[in-house]
Amino acid sequence: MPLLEVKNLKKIYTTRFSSQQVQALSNVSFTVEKGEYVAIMGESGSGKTTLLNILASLDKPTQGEVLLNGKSMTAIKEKEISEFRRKNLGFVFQDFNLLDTFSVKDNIFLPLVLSKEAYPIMKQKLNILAPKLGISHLLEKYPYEISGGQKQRVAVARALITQPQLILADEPTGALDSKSTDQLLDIFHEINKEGQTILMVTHSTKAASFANRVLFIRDGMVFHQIYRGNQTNEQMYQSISDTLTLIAAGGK
Amino acid sequence: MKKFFYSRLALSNIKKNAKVYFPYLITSSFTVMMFYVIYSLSQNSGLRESSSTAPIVLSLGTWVIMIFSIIFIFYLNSFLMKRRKKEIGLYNILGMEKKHVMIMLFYETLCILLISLLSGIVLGGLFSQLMCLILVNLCHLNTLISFEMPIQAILLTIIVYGCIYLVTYLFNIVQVKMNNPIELLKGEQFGEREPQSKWLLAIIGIMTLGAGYALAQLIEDPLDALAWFFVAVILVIIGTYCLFTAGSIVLLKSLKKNKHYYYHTKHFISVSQMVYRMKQNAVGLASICILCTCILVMLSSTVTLYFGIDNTVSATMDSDYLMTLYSHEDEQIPSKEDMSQFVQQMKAELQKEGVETSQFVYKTVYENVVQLNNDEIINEHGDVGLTIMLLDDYNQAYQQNIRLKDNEILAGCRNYEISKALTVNDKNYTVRSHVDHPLLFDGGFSEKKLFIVVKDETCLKDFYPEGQLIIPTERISISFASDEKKANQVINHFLEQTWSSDSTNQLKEFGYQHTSRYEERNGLLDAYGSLFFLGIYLGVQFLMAAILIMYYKQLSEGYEDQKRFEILQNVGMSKKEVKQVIHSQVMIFFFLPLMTAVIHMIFASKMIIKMFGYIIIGDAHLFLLCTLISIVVLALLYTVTYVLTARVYYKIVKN
Repeated sequence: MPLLEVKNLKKIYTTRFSSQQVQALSNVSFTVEKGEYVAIMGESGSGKTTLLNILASLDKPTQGEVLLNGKSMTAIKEKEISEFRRKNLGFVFQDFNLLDTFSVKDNIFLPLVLSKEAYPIMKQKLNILAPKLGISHLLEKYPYEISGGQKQRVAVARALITQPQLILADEPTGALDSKSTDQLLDIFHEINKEGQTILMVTHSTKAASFANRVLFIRDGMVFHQIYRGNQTNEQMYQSISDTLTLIAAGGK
Repeated sequence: MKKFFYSRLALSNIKKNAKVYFPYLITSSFTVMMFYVIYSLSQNSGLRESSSTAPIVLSLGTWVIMIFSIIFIFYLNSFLMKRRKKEIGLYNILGMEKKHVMIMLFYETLCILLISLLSGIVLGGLFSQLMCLILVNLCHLNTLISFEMPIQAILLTIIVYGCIYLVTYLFNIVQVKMNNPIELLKGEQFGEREPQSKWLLAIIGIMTLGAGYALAQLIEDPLDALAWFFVAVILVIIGTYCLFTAGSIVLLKSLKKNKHYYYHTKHFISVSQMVYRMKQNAVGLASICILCTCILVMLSSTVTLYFGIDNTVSATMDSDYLMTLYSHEDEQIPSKEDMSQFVQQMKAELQKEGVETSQFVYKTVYENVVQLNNDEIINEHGDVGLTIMLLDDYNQAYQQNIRLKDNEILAGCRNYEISKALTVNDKNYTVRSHVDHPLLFDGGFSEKKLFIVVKDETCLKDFYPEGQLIIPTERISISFASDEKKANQVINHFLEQTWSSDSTNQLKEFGYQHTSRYEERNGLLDAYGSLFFLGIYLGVQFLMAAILIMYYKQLSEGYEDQKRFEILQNVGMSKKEVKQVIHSQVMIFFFLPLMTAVIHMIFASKMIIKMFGYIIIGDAHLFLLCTLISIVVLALLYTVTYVLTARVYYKIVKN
């Protein structure tokens, strides 16, 4: 059974002041196996963000369903949805989404505190996680005292500390310089090797080239996909570029 | 063209920031109006003629409003400038020189000043008549209310507020000059540093507040209470500001250190957010608290004074009218015959004029000033006013039928305690029973007074040093069954005639004094009525200020919290949980200033009651009732405004 199964997703937005409808997703289907590292690419307006929002259970599809471990996410009641997200999903955002009123440590603890975890257990989990992400020396600092790359690693720590089934990353390298981008992608690669499933939405060919599989979305549909197979990152980068060029040329 | 450019830019800036500037303009106009109204009332010719205290009280109020305006407008201005730093930085970067920003700010300030002055003075002109009407009714004055718009008041208002705004403008210029554009641009964004625990300030806060409370509780003497009240007020104000700013952060940070408490779903977010919230808003909250306390103290005490007038008057006077005949030490005592003749004349005069009396008592009272030392009267000049009556007189005057033995007395005292026995000139007297009479209030409420009824003149001599002439004062107490005002006029007229130069009356050589409930009440109505008016007037002004501070607080917090709550939802907090967190924070910041104000008031009430001992009698219950009502009224108004301003906050956060 695949970890994530997306079946015939369709999303239509109706704007509040007009009857005009916008079709963000027309028919999206794909599956993600446990331990996979999948990147989703597409131009602005292709429906990436809508897709991610639905996967994150922040939004409901007009049609179709999303199964996590065979359980339908679209059928979860509103009341339980937050708990479901906390337990099963971890999020990494482009703009980090760290709270400036919390220290780095407290930011990482946030989802655990919301799940009513006991302090000693939280601390234990952090002690294992922090060295891996190279943020042990930052724990007592505040978000405004650290760099963008460091912030994103903290955000990754916050996503990982609940040991989620799936990490959803939305343009995680979007606000980072090249050095920090490399560091972050290495980290993603590392945690994926340890068995963490990752689904990343990105613009960046470089970020996508680290993934095992790349899905291309256009006009609300999965247009194409590339498997890494035995390709190196460089070869993968080339394949992605070729595909993007093809899409840009409008071919099929 | 260029000239109009800046004024137009200034106007459009104000319009664009309407959410912030509109309430500011309203409050500023309101404050100008309040100042104009109270100043023009204090200058009102009608009031000046008919009232002796109202103009004084009103000019006091003018000062209070002026000083308050300075502080308040400065506070608002600095709040507005903080919010606009980014905008000003942007102007700099877009190529406006600082000089141009200053010109723009000048036009803005001018615009606000003109609008405030114009609307304030026009509204003030309209309202001053209504206010005058209210004041005249409260004080029971006989004045014809004329519409006045004194040019002097208009000029002073313009000068005062012109100066205040000029200084705020200069203050803003200095700020613009000192900052560089990048800093201005980032002004709001810079992640706020977590506040430090300021232990020293917190300890100072605890100590000053404790000292203020202790003063309020420990002082027993009314005069001391009066003298120390303002010290206590200042201590409590300092304590409140210190505790709100430093104490709260010390407390929250120590909560944060307690891992088991802090890392709990319910406390985690609230505690960490409140640390920042207190850093930014402590001064505002403390100000709201102080304003609320001021409102409570002013309202409860002025209302008590006003509604306690009847109690005070009847507690201090036996009868509706009291005339006292006194003689100088070297002069003779009026003879019994002359006195009774005079009394007869007076009765006849009253009858002739159709004034009916329900009581007409003539009594002789002996007065002396002595020292009291543990139930021993020492016949030296001291601090205790001693009033003595002979038993026969007393029985007759108060319609009693008491018999006393040679060594027995009746006694009453005020601001002093006596036991069952008194010693004087080595002679022991037993206090048969304690009595309480308005006579005890002669000569002021704060004095120590002792009232004694002795059996006869032999006993009386014991209370005077040997050889000293014993000179009584003769008192005539009258109560009326008919119209008080007319009766007063009749008697006063009669007394004037009797003491006029062509009168043949023997008593002319003695001095006389007269008081009446009617006059006393009118005097008190005038004084306390204007205080009552001022209490409510300032109460409204302070409430307005508290509302605006609250509104701005909600506004600025709303924008900050918007992003925070969005993140919390992204991280897996449900909408319901977010709502709960918002709600509990809103409630804490709602109750904190109000509850503190109520606690201040509870501690202050003892001292205020003590002070009232000096000016008002037996009104502790009335005061407590008035305090309770004031608290309820304030809490209601506060809740309404809070609900309204909280709506602004919720709207921003929900977006």
